[in-house]
Formats: sequence, C-alpha cells, structure tokens
Amino acid sequence: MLLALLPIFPLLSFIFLVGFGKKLSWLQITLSSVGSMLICALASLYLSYTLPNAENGVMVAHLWQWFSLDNGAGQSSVNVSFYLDALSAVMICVVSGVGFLIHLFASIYMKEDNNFSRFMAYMNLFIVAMLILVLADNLVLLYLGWEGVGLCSFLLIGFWYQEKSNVLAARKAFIVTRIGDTAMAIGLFLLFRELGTVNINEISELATKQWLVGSDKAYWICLLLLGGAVGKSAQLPLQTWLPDAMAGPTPVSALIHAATMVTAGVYLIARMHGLYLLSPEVMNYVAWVGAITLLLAGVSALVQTDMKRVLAYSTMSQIGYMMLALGAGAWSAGIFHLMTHAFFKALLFLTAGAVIYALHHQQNIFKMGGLLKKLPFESTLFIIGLVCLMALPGTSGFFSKEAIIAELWSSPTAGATLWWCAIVGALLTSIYSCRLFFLVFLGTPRFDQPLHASHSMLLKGALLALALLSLIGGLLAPDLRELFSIEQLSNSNGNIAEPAWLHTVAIITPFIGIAFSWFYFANYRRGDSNELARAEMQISTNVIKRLSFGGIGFDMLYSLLFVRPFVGIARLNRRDVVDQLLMSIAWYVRICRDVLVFSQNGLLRWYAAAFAFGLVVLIGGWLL
Amino acid sequence: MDSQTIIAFLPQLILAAGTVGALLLVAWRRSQRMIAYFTLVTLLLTLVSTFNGIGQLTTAVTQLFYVDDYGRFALLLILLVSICSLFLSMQRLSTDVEVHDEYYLLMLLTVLGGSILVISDHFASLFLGFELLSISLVGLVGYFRQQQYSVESSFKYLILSASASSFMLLGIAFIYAQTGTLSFSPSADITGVSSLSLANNYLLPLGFILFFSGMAFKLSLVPFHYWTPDVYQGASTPVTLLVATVSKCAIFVVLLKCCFAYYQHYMGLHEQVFNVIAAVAILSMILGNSLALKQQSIKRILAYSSIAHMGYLLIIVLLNQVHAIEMAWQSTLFYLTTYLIACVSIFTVICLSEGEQHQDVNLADWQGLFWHRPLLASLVIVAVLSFAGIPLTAGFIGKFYLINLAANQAMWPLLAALIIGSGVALAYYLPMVFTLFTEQGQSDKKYDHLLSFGHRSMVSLFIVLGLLLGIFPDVLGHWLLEF
Repeated sequence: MLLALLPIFPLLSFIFLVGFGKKLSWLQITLSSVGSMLICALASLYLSYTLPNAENGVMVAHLWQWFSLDNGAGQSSVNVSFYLDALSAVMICVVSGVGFLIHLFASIYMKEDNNFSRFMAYMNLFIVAMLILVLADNLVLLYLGWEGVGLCSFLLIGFWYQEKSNVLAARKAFIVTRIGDTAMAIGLFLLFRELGTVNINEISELATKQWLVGSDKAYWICLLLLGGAVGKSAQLPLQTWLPDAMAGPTPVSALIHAATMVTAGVYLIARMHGLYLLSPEVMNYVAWVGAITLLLAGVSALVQTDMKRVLAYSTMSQIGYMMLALGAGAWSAGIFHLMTHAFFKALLFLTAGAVIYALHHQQNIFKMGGLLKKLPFESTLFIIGLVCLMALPGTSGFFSKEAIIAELWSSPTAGATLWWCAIVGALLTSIYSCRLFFLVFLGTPRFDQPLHASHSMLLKGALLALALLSLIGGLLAPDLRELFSIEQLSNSNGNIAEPAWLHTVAIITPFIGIAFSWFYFANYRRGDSNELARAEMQISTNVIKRLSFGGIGFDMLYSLLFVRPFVGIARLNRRDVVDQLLMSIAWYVRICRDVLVFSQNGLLRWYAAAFAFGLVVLIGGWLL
Repeated sequence: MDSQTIIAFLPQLILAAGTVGALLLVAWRRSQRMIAYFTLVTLLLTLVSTFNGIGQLTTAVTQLFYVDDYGRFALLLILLVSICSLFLSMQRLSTDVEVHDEYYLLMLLTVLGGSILVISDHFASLFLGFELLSISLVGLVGYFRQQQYSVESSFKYLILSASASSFMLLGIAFIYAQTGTLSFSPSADITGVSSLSLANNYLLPLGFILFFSGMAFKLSLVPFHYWTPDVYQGASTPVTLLVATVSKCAIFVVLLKCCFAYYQHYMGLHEQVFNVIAAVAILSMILGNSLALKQQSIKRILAYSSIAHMGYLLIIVLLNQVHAIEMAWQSTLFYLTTYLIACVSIFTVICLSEGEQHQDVNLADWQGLFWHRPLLASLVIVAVLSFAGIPLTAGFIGKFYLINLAANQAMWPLLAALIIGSGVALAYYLPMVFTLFTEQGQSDKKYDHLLSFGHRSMVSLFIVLGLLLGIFPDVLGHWLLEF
C-alpha cells in the first residue's frame, strides 16, 4: 500500500540523517532528504490521481492497533491507520509537493551551514509528522502528528540556538501553541467521554445522531477544539508567536510557518466540520476570530520593517480568511484558499529568502530598494507572489479569495458585517503588499555591499515551479463539494438577497488599494532617503504605528497579564515552600543517618547488646 | 521411600553426595582445578534435577520436607547464583599458590543448607538447614585469613549467628510447648486441641516473635542488622555474594512458608504479631536506606541497601489473606529473582574491578569506569537502577508487585515507608551511576587487564536479563503463576 508508505519515506531519510549526520557529504544529505521528498510528492500525486477510482472515493490503510481504550460499553481501539479522502488528498499534495520544492530550495540555501544534516533531518521529521496529522483516521493519531509538528517547529525556530533571541522565539512559539493544544486535548477527552470513540468518521456519525443542533456538549467541544486550532494557526488570541517564529531559517518560515503547519488548525476544523455544524454559535466565533485576526494582522503588516515579519503578518491575515470561510460554512473555499496560499506564500518566503541571501542577511526593508534592476529574476517571482496575494484577477489567489468572499454575505453564520471585514482586509492586503514592493524593489539602492545572488539552477527551478503553481493554482481547484455537501448548513432563514454590486466591489478592492498606495507611498516609490528615514523613525515615535508594529500590543498585554505575574510568583517562591518541606525530609534523613552511624561502630559487644536490646524492645512493644 | 519421593528429593541427595565426594576427593588428591570442576559438575547436576522437577507433583518427603514448585524455583535461583559465585571464586583463587579445596567444600555445604531450607516443612529440618548454612558461611567469611577484617568479621558473624540461633531455638521450644508439634502443617487433631487455647495464649506469639527474630538476623532486618556491613566488607567478594543471595533467599522462602502455614492454622496468632513484624519492616526500609547514605565502600552500601530490600520483602509476610497466597508467592519469587540478578551483576563488577590485593572497592575506584570499561559500567547501571526500581529494569516490576500487594491489602503505613525508603535510596544509588561518568579517573591503570570472553559474555547476559525482565515481565510472571 502506497498510502501506508507515504510517511515512511521521509522517516527513513530522517533516521538515516540522524544516524550518520556528520559523516555525510552535502550531496548525500541532499539526495537522501530531497530524494525522499520527491518520492513522497510523486506518491501523493499518484494517490490523489487514483483516489476518485477508489471505493467511495476513500482509501484506508490500516497499519496496526496502537492501543485500545475502555469506553464503558466495550473496547474502542485506537489504530495507526491512514484515511485518505478528497480533503486529506489536497493536504498531502500541498504538504509533500510544496514540501519537496522547499526542501530543494533549502538544500541550496542552507548549503554553507555547519549543521546542514541536522536541518534537513528536522525538515524530514516535520513532513512525517505533518503527513501523520493529515492522514490520521482518529484524533489521537492526529494529536500525535499535531504535537510532532509543534516539536519540529520548536526545533527549527531555534535552529540557530547560539543566539539567545532565536531560542526565546522558539520557546515562545512552543509555549503559546501549547496553550491551544491543552484546550484541544481537553476537547478530545470530552469527545471520548461523550461518544466513546476517537475515530473521526464515527465521531461525526455519532454526534449527528446523538446531539441536536446547538447542544451544549457540541458547543463546548467545538470551542475547545477551536482553542487548539487558533493556537496552531496563529489566530487571535494566540497569534503572538508567529512573527517571532521568523527567527528560524527562511525555508522553515516558508514550509512550517506559512505553507503547512499553520494551516493545521484550518484542517482540523474542516476535518471536524460534522461537529461544527452542530454548533452554529461556535462557527460564528470561528468567523469572527478569522475576521478580527485578518484585520489586525493586516494593520500590523503595514508598519513592519522586517521583510519576513511583513510576510508573517500577511500569513496570519490569510489564515484569518480561511477561518472566516470555515466559520461561514464555506468549507470548500477555505481549503481551496489554504492550497493556493501555500503556493504563493511559499513562493514569497523563498524569494524573500533569496533576496535576503543576496543582501548578506539584511532583512530591514528600509535598507533595501532598487532591487528590480539588480535582481530581475527574484523581482519577477516576487511580483507574481504579491499579485496572487492581492488576488488580482486571473491568479490563484483571486479564485480562492473570491470564492470565500462570495459565500460570506448569505451565510447564516457570517453575514454582511463579516463580508465588509473581508473587503477591508483585502484592501489592507493590497496596501501592505504595495508598500513592501515599493520599499524593496523600487527607488534607489540603500545598501553598500555588493550583491551576491545565488545562481543555482536547483534553487531557481524550485522558485519557478512555485511561481507556476501560484499562477495556475486556480485551475487546480479541488472538488470537495461532495465531501461537505451532505452536511451543508440548512439555510433556515431563507436565501438572503445578495445585492448585485457585491462581486464588483470584491474585484475592484485590490485595485483601489494599489491606486491608493501609488500616491500615498510615493516617497517609498521614489526612494527619497530623507522621507524614508523619517518614516522609519515614525514607527518608534508615532503611538499608533508603534502599537501596530508590536502586533497591536498583544505581546505587551500578555506579558502584563500572565508572564510578569507568573515570573513574579516564581521569584517570590524562589525558595519553594514545597521544596523546603521536601528538603526537611532530606534533612531528617541526614540527621537520622548521622545518629545511626554511631551505632555501627564495629564493636562486637555493642552489636550483641544492641541485638538483645532490640529483641527486648520488640517483645515489649508487642506486650504493650 | 518410593521412586517419586526420591526424584523429588534428588537435588538435595545429589548435593549431599557431592559434598561427601568432595571430601573423598580431597583425601585422594589435592588439586584445586579438579575440585573446582567437581563442584561445578555437582551444582550443574543439581540444577538439572531441580529444573526437571518444576511442574511435577508436590510431594512430602518424610515429615521433614515438603517439595513444591515454589521451593524448587527458589532452589533454582540459589543454584544459579552459586554457580556464578563459583566462577568468581575460581578466578579469585586461581591467582593463589595455596590449594584451596576446603573452600569449595564449604560452598557445597552452604548450598546444601540453602536447599534444605527451601523445602523444609518442619522446625527440625529448618534448624538443620539454618545451621548448615550459618556454620559453613562462617568458615567462608573467615577463609581468606590474611585479608584485612576477614577473621574479625567471621567472628562477629559466628557469635551473633549463634545468639540468633539460640533465640530461635527458644522460640521453637515455646511454639512446641503450645502446639505440640514441630511440623509447619500440623494434622487436624492437634490443631483442634491447640486452637481452643489461643485466645489468651501469650507463649505462642512470644515463641513466634523469638523465632522471627532469629530469622530476621539472617535477613539482616533492623534491629538485628549490625553484622551486615562488617561482614559484607570483611568477606571476599564471592563469599559476600553468597551471604547476600543464597542465605537471604533461602531464609526468606522458609520464613514465608512457615508464616503462611501458621496463619492458616492459628488464625488468632497473626493479629498479635503483625504489628511487631510491620514495625520491623518499616524500620528496616527507612533505617537501612538512611544508613547507606554517604558511604564510600560499595560493599557497605550494598549491605545497607540489602537491609532495606529485605524490609520491602517483609510486606509479603504480612499478607493475611489465604486466597492471596498464590499472588504472594509470585511476587516473592519475582522480587527475589530481580534482586538476585542485580546482586550477582554488581558483585561481578566488584570482583572484576578489585585490584591485585583484593582491597575493598570504593566509589572512587569506579570513577570514569564508563569511559574505560563501558560494558562493566553498563552492567552497574542496569543493576543499580534495578535496585532503585527504575522502570524498564527488572527491579521496577519486582517493586511494582510489592506495591500492588500492599495497596490491595491497604497496608498504608508500609506503603508510605516503602515510598520514602525508595526516595532516600535514590540519594545513594544515583551517585553510584554518576560516579561512572565522572571524567578524572585516577585509576586508569587498574583496568589494564582485558576481560576474557567468558566474563564479557557473562556480563552481557546479565545486562540482557536485567532489562528483559523489566520489559517483558510476563515471561517470568506467567511461569510463576502456573506453580
């Protein structure tokens, strides 16, 4: 079974790299890691291609029983088995396909690094975990993959652990996502207690049978699962870790923090849509979480100075779109956007990586400029990426984003307000995209060192492939309607009339943004150095800009609410009370020992006397 | 005696015949190699006959003995340990010019004593085995008389052991006076007579306590433990191994048999003596572990830790429900197996890391052992972790059985003592492991001599055994349940 083998390829490569690591040459490492990914990607494509021929459009690979749980009425087995339907097929194609291209890029990008083999090993391990996550047929196995990708994300953000800030960023990402994971785990336990199974299909079936729409149990479970999803997908209120996660090497940002892992939350909700349909309130929350995140992240992206952070906020905002789609019941559109976003965001990150590489690891966009002429290849690709991001007609982003926006107005769990949010978000997207483009590629060069661009064909090939996917991705729209159709929300309050101007507005919005930026950011466009310096200064002086720069103050808020009190308590309790109690036991034991040592004096007469005395005490104790 | 009885009794017969044969052999020709191999063959023959016996019918051999599978399995353990000790002794003695044939004779006698104990069903046979074991061990402990402390510790052992025997005899006399029989499983009519007068009977419990303290001396339970560290340190390592394993295993098995028989027949008895035994157990667990702290000599550490381990085992003696007896035996034998494996492992390493002069091995001598002798160090790690009861080693499962029993019987004070004791124990077990990894080993020269193939395979075998029982405890556990 090819399906069962899918995660095995990168796993073998991981084991190989971990085992031999340091002894291997660059070529061997690349062959192992990228080769395994190539096989994996081809296998995924083949599987997705043959999937419609399979029975019911579903493939199942049962490997072995992991363990079994007692659910009161009997044993419920938790299997290691993979389940491939249209949804997971999209996911494995994105994960292994985009993953392969990013591996290819990384093999060139990270070539000079001393720990190249470790890097590639982690990347392979990440793919293993991600594949397990999307292929799992039960929530426990999914959770294994979920935690696995979290671990890899942690390891890779802190890959250059010699610098403290990287380690802090890794720690932050780990802890913040852990909060969501805990919520999700609790939701999982609740599910098992209520339904007695962890198998995803059985859960959907049982839940629809046992619970009515709007029931309390469904509400709480969905809310808890949403907690996990917002943690992983960097949505409000657990979004603060993603910008810091850019401390990792650029391929990592592309693979984990843009294309695949951060969409795991979206996947989870889509996977559990049967449950979410039972709880329209939570779907409404999902939509609102997505909408607010997409606006906040868009505003933050407007004032960032670090190229990768702009993209990070843009990622948050795009995932906000996906969440919005899920909340509105536009499952298919959400997953479609997930796919196209993976293409163009990976392209953007990797091109950004190439630019940063050419500029000797300069990430500040105020110190770039004028690259359009110097790096024409990278510039073209970046433009393609940005165009997709802005959703200009004809690009993949256009199809998926329009699909989402089109369903918002009439959705019973979304509505007109959210539609407007999405439109404003699209406007913001085009404005920050233009700002980024003007600052980086137009104007005059603001750097001293000569460029050293990489001319590797592999690297360019990977970028070109992604660019192609970004452009034509719209044609690859996955047909998921069948999967989601059965449980489609019943439009109880009738069809809400959609005004005729909706589509026109949605299509025009990005152009308005571009036109606005063209004039508003004229200084950036021309590269007036005085104006630029002033603008950069303003970010630290202007209150609103500073707030936006720091991610709308959430970091500060959390630091004030949780981190500082916690650290304060920890400091207060530095001489831990419980610890003192435990140490007192140790102290007593030591005293006891010191006293007893005198009894062990090596004198036979003393031993004999003690022997007799002990007996007397024993008998005395018994008599009393 | 019919043939079945003889077959059941065969291991003891072979051992006895072997002892006589060894005596004759000494008279005929004094050759160390010859008598060593003769002893080995005797032990192996006994091993085979014991192993054959497992699973066969339980048989009473006269009034004195009662052969069942528990006894057979305990004998199996004793024999295996003795064979290991024999190997270590052979290596130890081969460097000497003198011919040490008495040594092997004494060893055979020790094993014979143990083998009698594990099947005895009568106070007379118990005493016989007890004394055989004690006296031959006294000889063995003092055997290397030119070694420091050897004779001294032998005398300590002799005198204290004699007093313990006398207490025990007095206790047996009291018991006999009250019950009118020396057999553990008295026939129905005698029971009927004596159970009437049990209510206000003080002599029977008193006798039982006296008898118990004699046994407790051998098991080195607090407050009869004083001899343990001195004897462990004074005796040469193979002999210490015998003291730590053969003697304790045999005595514990017979104590358990005796106690269970008595609980069954004199139900009124156990209520009164239970508290005494529980106090002894708790004291042993806590004091034994506390004493081991900060010790430098490894043998002394092991001596103190053995006090604690016997304290843990005493939990099983306190079991008062007849239907749990099978479970109790399973736990006992499992625990003894893991304890014996760990003991043999660690004493093997001590033996192999002793210098030419066979001085006492201190913790400092093991510094950086892992970097010089990874195999030996791994064995130490497995053995020490097993003693400490860390998961994935055999010791964990053994301890788990005990905790399970104690929790089932709601013996909370004992359980608490066990947990505290185990916690304290980590404070000296873990430093032993850490020592192996410290860098500055001043004693690089000591490990120059290579390990022979035999040693290496033996060491690897013990590592595998220690881990195997920890990972697949059912291999042994299920087998024990079939008894």
